[in-house]
Amino acid sequence: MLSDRKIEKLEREFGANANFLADRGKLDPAVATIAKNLHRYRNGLYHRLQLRKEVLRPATYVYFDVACSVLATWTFQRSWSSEEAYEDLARFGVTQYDLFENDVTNRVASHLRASVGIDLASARTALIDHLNSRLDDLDEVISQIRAVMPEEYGDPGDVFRIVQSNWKERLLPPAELRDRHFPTSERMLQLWRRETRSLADIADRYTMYARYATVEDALQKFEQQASDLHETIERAVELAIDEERGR
Amino acid sequence: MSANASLPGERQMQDGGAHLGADTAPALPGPKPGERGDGPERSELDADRITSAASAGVTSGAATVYARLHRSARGILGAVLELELVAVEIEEASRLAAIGRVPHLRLAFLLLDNAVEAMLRLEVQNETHLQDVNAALAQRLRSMIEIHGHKPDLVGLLANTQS
Repeated sequence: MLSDRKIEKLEREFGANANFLADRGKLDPAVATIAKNLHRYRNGLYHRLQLRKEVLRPATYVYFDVACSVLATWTFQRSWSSEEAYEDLARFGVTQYDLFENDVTNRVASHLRASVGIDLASARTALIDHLNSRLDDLDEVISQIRAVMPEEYGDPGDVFRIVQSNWKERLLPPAELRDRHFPTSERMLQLWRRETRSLADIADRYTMYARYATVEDALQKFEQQASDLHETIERAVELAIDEERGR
Repeated sequence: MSANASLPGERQMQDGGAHLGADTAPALPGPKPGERGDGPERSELDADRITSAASAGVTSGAATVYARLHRSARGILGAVLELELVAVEIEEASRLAAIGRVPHLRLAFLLLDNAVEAMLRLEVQNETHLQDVNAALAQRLRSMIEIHGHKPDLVGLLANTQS
């Protein structure tokens, strides 16, 4: 039996619903993973209009694919007390008698899939290109930060350590910084590159979507941290230039 | 809308009643695929129409079978509407996505997210609809255990209910 807290969570959170159904074998775990990832995109898109334009098209096709998969396995619940007007589903390839069949939602999903030619190859290429371009940008940001770092932070891994440290509060001395453990290093960036390349070889599309989501999730946090430090440095440089001009 | 359209899938009926023959189909307002029509909605069909179909030459057995099916069909309307709502959202999303412009892609994405969220929520409700019944039963069992002591049957039943 579910606790009240769990029920409240299910009523409130998209991810909790996806996890719950995946745990109960009602939803493919790979579909659940990519649906949660896409839903986070949706939040950015709806509230802040921050969805990256270059990934919007492939993401929409992936979501269409995911929506059809969820629909195909959706339990068609026969609610016997309803008196709502009957709406014709004929144009989705369903006859009135199909409504008595257990696979009616699968039939509708198949009909919808057939009506849209999902170009998986293009979607895959766009997702790979998108990750690669973000990794390229990240490399550039890292190299620009490294170029302005004080000399004592000469270890190649120091830039990764500083980015992930609480530099806004206090920049730790090199020795203290190197004693701390941070999740992302240069090797991690190389791993993300390899995993991005591997998307081209994954035959099962949901495994491919899930791998994409994993890389992007991992990348996103470090990318934001690097971007914060880079912007701070940029502002400081601009301020210094302005002051120089003002003299 | 064809007033004399035959029932789609009528030969699939497996309820042991008389089958509707193609030549003896009752007057039904079923539109053809892709056609909404302007006649009465299916929900407006009632026993009188079915009776009149029977008197117009349809065998009474066939009319009885149809009436029974029709009552069943009226019972699944809520679920049918839910299914159509989701299907239309996905269909509209694919139409918008095909336009390919960023504003249309954004709307398509929002529609798809809404459709998926609705399906997940309804599926979770399907999975948890006995939650309240189980909670009440567990409460009752705990009261009985307080009164009668920890009898193995009651404790076992409580464990089953809570699992």
